[in-house]
Amino acid sequence: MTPSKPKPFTITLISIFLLLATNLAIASSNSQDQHSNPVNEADSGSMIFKFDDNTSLMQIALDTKVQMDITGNINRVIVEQIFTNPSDMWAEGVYVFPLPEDSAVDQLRMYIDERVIEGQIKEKEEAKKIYDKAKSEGKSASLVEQQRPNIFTTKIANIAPGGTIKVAIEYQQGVRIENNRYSIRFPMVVGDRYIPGTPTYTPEDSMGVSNNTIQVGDASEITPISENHVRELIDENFEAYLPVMIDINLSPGFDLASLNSTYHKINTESINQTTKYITLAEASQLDRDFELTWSANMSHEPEVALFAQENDNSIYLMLMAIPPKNEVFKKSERPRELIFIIDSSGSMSGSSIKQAKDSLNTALKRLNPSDRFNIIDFDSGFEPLFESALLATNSHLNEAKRFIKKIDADGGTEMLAPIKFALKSRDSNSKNYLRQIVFITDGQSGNEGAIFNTVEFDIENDRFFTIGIGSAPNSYLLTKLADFGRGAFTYIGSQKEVSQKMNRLFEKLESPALTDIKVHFPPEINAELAKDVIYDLYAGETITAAFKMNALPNSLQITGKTVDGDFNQNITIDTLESTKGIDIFWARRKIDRLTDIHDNAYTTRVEKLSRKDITDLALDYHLVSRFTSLVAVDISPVRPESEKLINQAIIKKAKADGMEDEIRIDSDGNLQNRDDLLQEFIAKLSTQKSSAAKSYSANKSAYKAPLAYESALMSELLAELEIAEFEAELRAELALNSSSPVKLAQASQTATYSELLMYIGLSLLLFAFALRRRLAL
Amino acid sequence: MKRLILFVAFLGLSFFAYGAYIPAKAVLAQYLINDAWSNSIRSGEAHKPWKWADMHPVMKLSSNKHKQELIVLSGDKGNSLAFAPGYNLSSYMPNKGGTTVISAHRDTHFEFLQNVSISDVFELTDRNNKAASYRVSDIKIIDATKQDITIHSDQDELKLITCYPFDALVARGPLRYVVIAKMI
Repeated sequence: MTPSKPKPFTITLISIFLLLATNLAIASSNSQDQHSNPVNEADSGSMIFKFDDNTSLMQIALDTKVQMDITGNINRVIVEQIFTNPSDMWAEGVYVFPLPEDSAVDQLRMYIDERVIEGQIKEKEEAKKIYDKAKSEGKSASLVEQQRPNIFTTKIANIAPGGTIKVAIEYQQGVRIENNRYSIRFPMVVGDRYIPGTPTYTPEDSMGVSNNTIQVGDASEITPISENHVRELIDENFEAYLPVMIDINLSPGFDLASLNSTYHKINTESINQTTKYITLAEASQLDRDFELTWSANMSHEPEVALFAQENDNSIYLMLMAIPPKNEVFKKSERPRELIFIIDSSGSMSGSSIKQAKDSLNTALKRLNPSDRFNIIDFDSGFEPLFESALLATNSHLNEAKRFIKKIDADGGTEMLAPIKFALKSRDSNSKNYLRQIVFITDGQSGNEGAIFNTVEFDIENDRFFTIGIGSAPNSYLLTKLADFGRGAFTYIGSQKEVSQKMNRLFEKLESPALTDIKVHFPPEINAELAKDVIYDLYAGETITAAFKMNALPNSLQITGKTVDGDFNQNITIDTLESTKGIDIFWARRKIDRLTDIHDNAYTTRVEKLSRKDITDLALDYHLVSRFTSLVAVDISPVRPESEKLINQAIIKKAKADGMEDEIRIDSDGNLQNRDDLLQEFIAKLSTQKSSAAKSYSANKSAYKAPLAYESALMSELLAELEIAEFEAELRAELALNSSSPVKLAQASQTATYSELLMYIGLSLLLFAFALRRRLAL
Repeated sequence: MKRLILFVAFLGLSFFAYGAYIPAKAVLAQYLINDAWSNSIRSGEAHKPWKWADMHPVMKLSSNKHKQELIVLSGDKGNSLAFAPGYNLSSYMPNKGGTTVISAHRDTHFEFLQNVSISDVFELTDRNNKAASYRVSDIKIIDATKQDITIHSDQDELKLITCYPFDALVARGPLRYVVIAKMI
């Protein structure tokens, strides 16, 4: 049951390295017997290896320049990739590179002899066709595709012999904010990946070191060749040379308390009072991630900042709220009214309902006596604990405990009526409470429209939190409901996590820092709120919201509620100091939301609709997405038809020592990225193993005496055995942790009481009949 | 006394009726589900058998030898199993390279499993009307409280699950009857 490992490189190498298709022989022969001969080793990083049989391996030189402009919490980045073809043949360069997972790539420019060709946004398939056509016609062309939200590919066709083509890719990302720690990360290496599964069809011209597999259908697109692989092939100390330069303009919008780079030495200059200029202090290569962190001098009030942008006929506005310092943070005194709506339909039966009931009990224990609560149990019908919420006194809590105990999972899933009841069961006192409705379900519902209407119109000032349990809750429905109710959707995929995740949510519900956040625009402004809703601000979080509107207001007012009372801030907007990129931020957020919907779509109709929405939005805002790519094509052909084109992957550097994935630990002390770390370790071990085998065969002749040879052989074998055993252990652990290749399911309850009931019924009837006879006698 | 007799008779009747209602609805629902299934095949999309249903047909399980043609619903919890066999959502759809797990009640749809023997052939048809055949390779009885059903991602196989023993009067026993068939 061990997943089949991609064969050692010989097979895949056929397609990767050989420039001449005629020389298939090299693949079957052992690569170690080949003598390679580097012919061109310049500082440019390009390199060609000629093998004895006229095949060769070439590294296209790649220079990377990064220019970042960080304004507020938006980071605008230009990445220049300069490809130089060292050979005397026409070449296509393929570069697989990482970007931050929230990056919105929106520009591509190709520079050829002083000319600039702007990239066009097209649907992914169409873009690929345009690129392939240009490639075969001999035109210079470039294509930027998204493989994963954090892995992209640049392809450059028809680089002339000895020629250079520069492409500039622009993207935007949000600054990450966590407890007054601001950071941006620029990843530089696509990590080695462990690809599980059975190999399937892999295109001949694919450039990855892994075959496509059933589990990972595009494995060959996301496993670029690294210098380690080349070292094994050419048996020489090859190092990829991939220089990188980074320039950063940082305008944080507040006074800096600190500024650090985690993995690089940096030089910092102050350009003016608000802007810092940062460069790398030492020559660097693409072998480790770049991370910049900074922090602010914080005030005690929650801070709100606004950024605006004018674009075409629309104004985009970004609102950002930062919670106050932790020490100032108080537990909310405002009493809450908690209403739990719990699904007890048949599909919840077993461990789901049990855990949901347990965490419900825990939540009740955390209530203050001044809080109020209610529980509504629903399946085909519904049953509330109280007619409206009551104070959390001991007697009420005991009543609740009995009620929870009685909840039993059977019946259908009728959501509308209990939701209606929860929203309508306010009394005159309810407005003094922060009403939080928690809706727990694992089910589907066809009447989404009716439910949306109800919640949208009756929600008033209540908060609506949704919890989806199991493999197929209707995430679309639950996410939207949480949006209407300014709450959050919590997804619980595994039954193991039910109590843990629910308890975390209940804790969070206790400490809102700034609630009821509203942005009031002057009446003459026809402000259209973007799809985003403004969530409440909880301890340790930062919220951002994006708006799109038709005109810029002179002033606006932000209101909300804090522990100490009402929060009110008037902001005057005198001049529009335009912040770039808010439109992109807005669109990227919307695509994110739509992608969630697409991935969790229950019906193919929803899937198709959301896919179309994503594509339209991405085309409108010029964004690379899962369904759209950027493509740039030069007008006239440069490569004569008689000349061949060779395609060549950029060989990536191995991650620098100590720069492997960092160990990430969450607030509970659990290791978060255990699987990533294990994968990295396995990849490392395989490399070690093969180099151990190689060093042995290379030194075979060195052992002259048979005895010494034998014992050396033994120790080699033992070492190898140990490594193999360890690797097998790790793989087994990985298989247990991840979803593939074997998983376990609980057998469901597959019998009914039908016969027993019929027998009881029959005997009762007989009994009644006998009684009657006796009475008549 | 007369009232008591009447009450007992009524009680008996209602018990009987409720008991009979379970297999009856299992049979009747198949007609509605069949309709939804033919709609699904025609459009290739999910159709619900009735408006308030929280599941939909996903495939058809058939056996010539046992004269069975059953529409399988999504999900293998009580809500689906009352009406038809249920497909375990964490297992694989046929032709996707992994294990397909289908459960049903031993006293309704999967009653015939007790007559199934090694090398019987089953057929699964998915919504795109693509069929796959499976030959029974093994029949096992497991204790569901101690053992889970294994779902392989790299073996085309079908597992049919029902409660065991078939004639037990009381439901919710721990034993399960598992029929394992490999794709041919």
